[in-house]
Amino acid sequence: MNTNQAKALLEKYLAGTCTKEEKALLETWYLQQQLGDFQDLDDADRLQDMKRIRRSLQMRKTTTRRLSTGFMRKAAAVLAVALITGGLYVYTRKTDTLSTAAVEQASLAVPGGNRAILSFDNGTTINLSTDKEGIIAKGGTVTYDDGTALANQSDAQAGTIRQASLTTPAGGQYRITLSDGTRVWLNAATTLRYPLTFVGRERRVEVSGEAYFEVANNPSVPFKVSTQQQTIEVLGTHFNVSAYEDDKTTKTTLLQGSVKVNSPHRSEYLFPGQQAQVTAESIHITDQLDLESIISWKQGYFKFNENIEGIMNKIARWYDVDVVYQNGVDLQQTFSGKMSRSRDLADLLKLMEITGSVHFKIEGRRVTVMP
Amino acid sequence: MSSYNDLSDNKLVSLLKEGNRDAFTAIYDRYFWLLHRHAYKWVRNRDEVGDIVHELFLRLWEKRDTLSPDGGLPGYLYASVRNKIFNQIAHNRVKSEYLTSLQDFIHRGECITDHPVREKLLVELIEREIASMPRRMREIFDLSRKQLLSHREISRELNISEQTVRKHIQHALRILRVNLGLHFLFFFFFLPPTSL
Repeated sequence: MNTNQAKALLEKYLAGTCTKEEKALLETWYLQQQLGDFQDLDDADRLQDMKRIRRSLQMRKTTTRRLSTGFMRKAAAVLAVALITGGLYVYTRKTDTLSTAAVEQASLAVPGGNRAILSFDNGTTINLSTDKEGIIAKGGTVTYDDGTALANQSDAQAGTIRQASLTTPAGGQYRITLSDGTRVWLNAATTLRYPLTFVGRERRVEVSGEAYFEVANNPSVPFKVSTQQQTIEVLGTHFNVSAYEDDKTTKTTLLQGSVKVNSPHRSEYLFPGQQAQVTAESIHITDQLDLESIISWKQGYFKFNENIEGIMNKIARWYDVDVVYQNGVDLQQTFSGKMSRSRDLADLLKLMEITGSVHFKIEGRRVTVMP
Repeated sequence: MSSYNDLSDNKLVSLLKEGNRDAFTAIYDRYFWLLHRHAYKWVRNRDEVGDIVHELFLRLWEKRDTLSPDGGLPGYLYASVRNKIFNQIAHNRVKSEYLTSLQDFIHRGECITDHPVREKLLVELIEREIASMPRRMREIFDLSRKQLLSHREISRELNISEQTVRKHIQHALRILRVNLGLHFLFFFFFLPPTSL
């Protein structure tokens, strides 16, 4: 475990540069520290030390100035007591009248919507309503956010079912509130596997795809999110995890609270505003992030600031299209921009074409990227 | 003049501020055992603890002019020990499990933000440690913890028996103890030795 933050905090305290919260944290830790079995010094030994030290103190007739030891303040990360909340504004962009683009048929590439399938371990599956945004799972009963009952639910209650899966297709998104109050937003092409009721000493779910979590606080029962490459351990927090199978890197971004990312070879703690990038080989932590981009999907819009391949992957998942690249396209070229997710694909692509560095052709469900 | 060991903490502090070496020695005699024991629980190394306590009292003497222990002398001394222990931990002079534990604690993010509550908990910690002192040392400690005015001085002042004074104070203490929101100073200093 990396103890740099602990050390840095102690040095701040000693230098007198702590914030109130940092002081509170250190002093609380000190107070509650269980010091274990304590084999005390002999009374006689202690008495001996008492006399020895008293002697040395009284011998000093004149006060001497001691050189103050300067504490090297490390440039390590400052304790993140300031919480970054996900309070972002929803951006709506006015469409400009654009020059014509090589768009042939836009009608089939419609933007995604609230689509998901809920399936239970006994085989029952329910197509969730596209008019609703989310469901609440409380033990064996599931209702929509607004309290409406699900169709076909009686089948689901039969037998001893412990687990269920919520799956969004390409072009789908949905929200679920789990039995402990944790809320999860699923992006497109995502599956969340969860127990109907959390029992036992931990709350565990599995994710493939991308999801945003607001974990209900319960310090005595840790919440764990497993993806193929890692397990995230959380207390009460808000974070985003992106673990698509076609991505080599699983990205976990923390907005508020505290998580621990466990991969088979290493574990790392995250501070708010940091992202852990897990690959098969390593975990890399970064705070050079555009937080808004990372959770823009949850707020209902795209915010890009990346290369074309990353953008097209996101477009493919939301609009449920296939993407083909022609020769000569510079895959590393980066674009930045914002657009509501409910816009047509054609509008989005037109936006990117303004730059003049890329062109698109839409044929049914296929998008061709051209230089 | 009665022995310095009979004087209250407050009285000793004001004498210390005047540069009174006997008062300094009295404070040392009174608090050495408690502080040394507390530091040893953390540091578990006789030499290191010796350094800590030595340095602490040295500083106490050197900074006697500007001394103003708001929360009372015990709290002040305990906070000094705590700072020295932090120093040891930060510079790897004690076992590294403390750094790991602190790192863990940082990530749990739970702490007591209310300062008076932390002070109160520190008081309770000191009380527990006093209670677990060896009997002989505890008796010496208790005997030397007088109230701001000793019973004798009060009885002389008010022309009533010491017994009456004691009863009044104990009654007042019972009330004071219920109101834990009171300033640390009063809470600590008015505790009668017999209640420990």
